[in-house]
Amino acid sequence: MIVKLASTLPAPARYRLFLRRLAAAPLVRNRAALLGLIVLIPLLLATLVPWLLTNADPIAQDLSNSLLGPSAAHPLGTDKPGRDVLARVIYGAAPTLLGALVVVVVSGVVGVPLGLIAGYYGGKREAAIMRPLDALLAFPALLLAVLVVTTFGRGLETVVLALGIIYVPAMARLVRSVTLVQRNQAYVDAGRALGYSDRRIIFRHILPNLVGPVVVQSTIDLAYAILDIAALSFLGLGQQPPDPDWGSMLADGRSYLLQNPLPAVSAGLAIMIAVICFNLVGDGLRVQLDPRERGR
Amino acid sequence: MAGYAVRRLLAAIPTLIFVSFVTFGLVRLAPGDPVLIVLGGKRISPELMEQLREKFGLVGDPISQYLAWVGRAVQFDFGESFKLRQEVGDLIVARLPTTVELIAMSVLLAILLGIPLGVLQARRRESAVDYAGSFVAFIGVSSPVYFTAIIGILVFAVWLGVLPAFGSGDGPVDQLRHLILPAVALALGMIALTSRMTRSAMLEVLTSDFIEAARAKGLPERTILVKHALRNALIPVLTVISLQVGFLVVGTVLVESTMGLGGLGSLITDAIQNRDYPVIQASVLLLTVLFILLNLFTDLLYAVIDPRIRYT
Amino acid sequence: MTTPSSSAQTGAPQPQALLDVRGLSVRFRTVAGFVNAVNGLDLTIQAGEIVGLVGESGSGKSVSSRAIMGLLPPRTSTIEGSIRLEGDELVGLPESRYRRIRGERVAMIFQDPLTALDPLYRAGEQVAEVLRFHFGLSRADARKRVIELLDSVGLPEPADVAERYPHELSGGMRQRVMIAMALAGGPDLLIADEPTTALDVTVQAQILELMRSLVRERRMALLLITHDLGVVRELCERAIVLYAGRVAEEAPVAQLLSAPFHPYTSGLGASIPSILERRRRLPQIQGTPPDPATLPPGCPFSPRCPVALDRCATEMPPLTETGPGRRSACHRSAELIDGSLKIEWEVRT
Repeated sequence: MIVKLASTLPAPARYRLFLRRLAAAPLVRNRAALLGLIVLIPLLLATLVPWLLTNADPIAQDLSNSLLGPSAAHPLGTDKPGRDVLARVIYGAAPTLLGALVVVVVSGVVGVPLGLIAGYYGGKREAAIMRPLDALLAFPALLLAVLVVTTFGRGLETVVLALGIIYVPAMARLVRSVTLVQRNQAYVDAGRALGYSDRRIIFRHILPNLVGPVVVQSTIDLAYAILDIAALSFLGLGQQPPDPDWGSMLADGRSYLLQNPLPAVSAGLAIMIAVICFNLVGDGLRVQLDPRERGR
Repeated sequence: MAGYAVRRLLAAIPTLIFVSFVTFGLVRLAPGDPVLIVLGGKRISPELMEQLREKFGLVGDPISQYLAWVGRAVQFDFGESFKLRQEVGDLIVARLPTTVELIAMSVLLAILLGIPLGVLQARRRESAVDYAGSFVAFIGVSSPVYFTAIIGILVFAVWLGVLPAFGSGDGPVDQLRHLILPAVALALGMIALTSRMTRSAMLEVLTSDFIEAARAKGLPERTILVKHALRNALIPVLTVISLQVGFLVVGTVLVESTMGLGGLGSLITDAIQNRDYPVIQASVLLLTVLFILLNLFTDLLYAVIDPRIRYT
Repeated sequence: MTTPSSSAQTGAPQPQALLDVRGLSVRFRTVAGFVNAVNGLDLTIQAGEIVGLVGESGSGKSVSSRAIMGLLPPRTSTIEGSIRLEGDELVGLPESRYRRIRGERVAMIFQDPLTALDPLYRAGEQVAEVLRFHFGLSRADARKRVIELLDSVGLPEPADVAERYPHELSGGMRQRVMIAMALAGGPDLLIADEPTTALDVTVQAQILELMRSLVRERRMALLLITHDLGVVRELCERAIVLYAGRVAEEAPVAQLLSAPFHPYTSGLGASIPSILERRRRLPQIQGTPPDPATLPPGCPFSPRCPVALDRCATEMPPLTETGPGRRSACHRSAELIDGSLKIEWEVRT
């Protein structure tokens, strides 16, 4: 196996590859990815069926029970208007996580075809696609999102759509570079020489090579999208009150942080755990899908 | 080198035009009459309304409005804030130092802590130091800055009581003390990414032929590690740092509002709350220009580190 | 970790060899257990001698050279046996003392001079740092010496070359810079790992010629590592053929090529292009070298050997003396010596 794979490389590279293969196993990474997957389960449950996880109402206020500490009735205490913090954390998963999913889907649905066309055809089409996308990258992403959302109105929908579009350039760039590499492979030239249509080459030969990088990128983008959505709702631009949402919980909790830090800290930890979880899975996928990453 | 810098600077001009156009255009696309926001529900005569329109540069076709706005913007005249009724330029000048200090401190922390940490991890690969470093880095990249800031407040201000929790402070020393927590909160993610990237770039570079050649020459380990490995590893590290500059610019917005620092960031957050368009436009434009300039600066740093770039 | 060999083993009081490797074995720790990359290599080089170390990828030739240079990763590799340089044992030498040997007594050049030079430093600086570290030369003195060195490897306008970055030099110039770097410490032994493989054909000949003349001028020994018997024929006096981390055959080059006593050597020799016979296709050895992780119990070459016997697959042939200065590890070497066995190499069409 080692020799066969290595025989196409020049000697020092072969020697290095040999040593690298021999280096210690990436088991730790994979175990971490497994942990990520396990943590994903409660997150998914909270997103899809929050009512199974708690009986408390995330919206009902009870001013007589304001800012309580943890108790049997309220495991994470209550916030200023007396709402159950645990219920708000659980119900707050959906806007952030589903929102992040939509962001990534939008960026993929728009970015993959654009990158594919730019990378495959090159020339004018590439310039027409990549120039505006690159210009978009001149903005600090979240700042542009702030601008767009203040313009078109607050709310989760605007946030998610704005972020989706802002994520397009990075995805398109990735797809373009992978496509470019594949396009210049000898087998694509061979396919063309045989008279295969562009469609056939794209679907049969280039798309399969894109799946790995796009999946890895999407998983990591999920983590970033969670952070960005939370940041925008922290600024009051996302999910509007009284609906529960991690970012806005954190923003609210900040104002009574010194009296009861639990609401802010719970929401913050929820964001962090979700981000770590997708980062772990993304890292694991990358190691799994890219043999070059192994043993590094 | 100077020629390269000038070329890079000229290449940034179209980007700046695009950025100013988007910043201006987006706000104009907003539904509703901006003047109504200025008035905040007060009823006034049509004549007065027209006067206000003129004052805020809302007269004429969009193109001439844009040109007039840009014309004033290059003279650092961004008009008057809807809400604060002050010159936006003055507001920004008053707020800018805090933000610049915050960013500078964070970048410094990221470089001074992140790079040595990454080198140490690469050197002691798969040791306790490496695992601990990776773990901290993982937490660092996964924690939102405003949450890190809140944890910082709780730990260092509330429980330990060693640092101030909120505000900007009075006098240089006190101001610096007030900057420590936000700067660390802002830097944590960057430290994490920098050390991660340094680690993997070092590991990559350490397998290169020229490192083996340097060993074969009998050079001391320190020379190999710093002179040959680290300098080569810095190229990808710099890329990561420059990509994070945007994160830093946005991070200041979040951290400043969390920690009650009176910088450009909190100016923006307040302006968002009040739909104070002149302020939003001006500060977004300014932060974006800052972002582009910082990117330009890292590009120049590349050329300093890597002789191959200067000639292409 | 390491077992310095007993001196009793070295035997008869010959004139002390420059390099004397005895029973060198290198093992790597891997995910799937240990892999033996080199198994009991013996190798001697006299002062001023040019020796070829020949083999395919995975034969252990690169690993052996790294073992001599002390460049194997200490955490994942284990070295056994003995490596003596002018009588000094190198195996188990602490890194701080090994550093003094590398560059000063043994130097190395690599296959691809572009990747072996640090892209971020001028050529002159990369030569100068050897002088500064090993001999404590001042910057000014080092500079002067660098220009002399660059001149001695046949670089025109050495002062100009010293100021250039690797990417501004041609492949041949870069390899000359590498050689100058190796010469800087005045080594007694130069190890060249495929020094011409990455170069253009016309440049290859120049570099080989340069190495030949430098070795003569400086009374330096050269260990040439290559997969190319053609290069060995050009340059070496004696060659050692490695297969799967073991010596297959060792002989003076002329004899090795004209009358190989190992089927593997015979196969390698048959595949050298020759100007005299204009065969359109050259014969090849079928199959690929074995995976060092799963070596067969017998002769590692037996699966590819056209004249293998049943016992070859189960019984490892010992390395035996087959003539003056000749050794071979093959159960059928006797038949090859007396000429009763002729090997026909298939020409694949």
